[in-house]
Amino acid sequence: MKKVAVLAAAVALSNSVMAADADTQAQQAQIDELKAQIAALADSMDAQVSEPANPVHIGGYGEMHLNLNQGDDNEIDYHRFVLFFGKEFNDRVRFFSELELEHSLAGEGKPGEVELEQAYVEYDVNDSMKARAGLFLLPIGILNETHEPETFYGVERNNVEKRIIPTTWWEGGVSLTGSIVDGLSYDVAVHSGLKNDEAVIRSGRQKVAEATANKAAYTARLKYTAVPGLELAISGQYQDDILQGGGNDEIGASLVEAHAIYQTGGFGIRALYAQWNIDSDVESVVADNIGASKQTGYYIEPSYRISESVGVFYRNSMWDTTAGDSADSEKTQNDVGVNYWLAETAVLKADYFRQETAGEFSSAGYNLGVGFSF
Amino acid sequence: MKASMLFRSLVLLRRSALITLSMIASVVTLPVLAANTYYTPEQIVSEVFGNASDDSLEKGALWMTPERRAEAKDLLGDAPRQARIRYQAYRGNYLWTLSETGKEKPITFAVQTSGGQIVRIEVMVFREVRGDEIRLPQYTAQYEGLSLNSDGALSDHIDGISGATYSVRSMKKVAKMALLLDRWANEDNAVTP
Repeated sequence: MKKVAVLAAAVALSNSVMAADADTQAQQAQIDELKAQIAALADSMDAQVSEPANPVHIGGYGEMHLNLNQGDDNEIDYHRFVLFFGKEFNDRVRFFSELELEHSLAGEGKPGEVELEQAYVEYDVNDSMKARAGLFLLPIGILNETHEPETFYGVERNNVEKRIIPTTWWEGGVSLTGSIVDGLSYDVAVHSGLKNDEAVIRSGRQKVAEATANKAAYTARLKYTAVPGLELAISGQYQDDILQGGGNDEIGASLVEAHAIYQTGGFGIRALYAQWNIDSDVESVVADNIGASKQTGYYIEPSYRISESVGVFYRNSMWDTTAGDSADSEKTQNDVGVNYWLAETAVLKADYFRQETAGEFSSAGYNLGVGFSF
Repeated sequence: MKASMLFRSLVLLRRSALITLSMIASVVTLPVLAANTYYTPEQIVSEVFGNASDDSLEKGALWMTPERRAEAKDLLGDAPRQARIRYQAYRGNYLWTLSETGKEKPITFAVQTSGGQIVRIEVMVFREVRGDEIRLPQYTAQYEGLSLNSDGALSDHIDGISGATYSVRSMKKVAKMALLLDRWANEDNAVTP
């Protein structure tokens, strides 16, 4: 009787163990299924994260300046507010644009301007070559292509690039950019030319605004970036006639610009030289701008990034927009200042400048600025 | 697939003046992707793990728990948006494939870490318009041996490219993220018997 009881108990126990086994197996199967579901959910979430969406890309930058000009009116000015729009149409074709409002208010009698500074279609010809057609920034100088406020020292853009190059300079045409070997790139462009009968280069930029296009201009640049922290570049521009066929003579003009940038650890240095050579016939064409046949400028700017937020700089510049005559019209300027980065692309700036013209003191002052880009 | 992609591009450009240029270019040059692929996943695995057979590679994934997300945000200012980060490992070396937006498009990097240090970093796919110098050996070599400081910074400075700061920034961010992932992966593996 006990044996039967034991046997019955054993059978019952083994039944319940088997039932428990079956329960465990069922639970295990459920766990496995849940695991598979979670994995599938995670995969689908991750797929959404890693596939790049293709929206319109919006960006921009802005900067406000306070100029405390000793001996002159102080001025506060929202110097620039810029919006970028761009989009990839497909893997090889995209467009990029830049729209700018200067000095807050544009229109009749207002100090500002609304300007189209970039608007081009870009096409990847191959692995190492891109072509652009439209309105684009010329590949000359340091600031012309890269001038968001957090990328340079000093509240205002330096006078050498502003007056000589003259930054910011854009034209309409076509360009090709590519790399010759790793770290050595080239740019060549055919585009609209300057037009000014006083050989004031800065005023000769037609800004692709119903611009006279009788005489094209050609720009080329070689840039070396094979060493980390170093950029060496040389650019040249040539055009037949800065009068765009409107004068009796053709006044040709050519520009040479070369610069070096080196940044390692906190230490940085920028050095730039630019020179215009304009046909000597220009001297008989201009009414006031005597000596405009040669225009030169250079600057050297060492800087030190003390920490992630603070950097200091000193700049020594010289420029002369009428160097072609014997009269001393050389302007020199010394700047010293500090940048305080609130974030990677938001910056507060302060600087002091002192300018001399032909060896005599001409102006000095302090500048404060706030800028951002996104 | 390449042929049909090329055909679609040509159709889109039919009314554009660029068609002539592209026809000449495609005759003269090799057909390529606009995004430059420097390493495929297979190539990077064979570079990093050499002759190790596929079976001997450990394929794992780190779950981004809320604690880990908070730690990443705290230390690096940002956390990966994925739920899981996959990796391959062999003999204490981890291989991470991470993407980070440059200025506008994602750049895909491969980072090899071991024992809290970067062994190697490469650019797998570069999609930006400029800044691809970061893939050159003289740029990537700067990351070898770097580790993460207690304040979330890399243990040495990196020289970049003056006109393409976004690309350099992404690479530094990915390097830091890989070191943090390496730390977590080692923690995970220390716990598991």
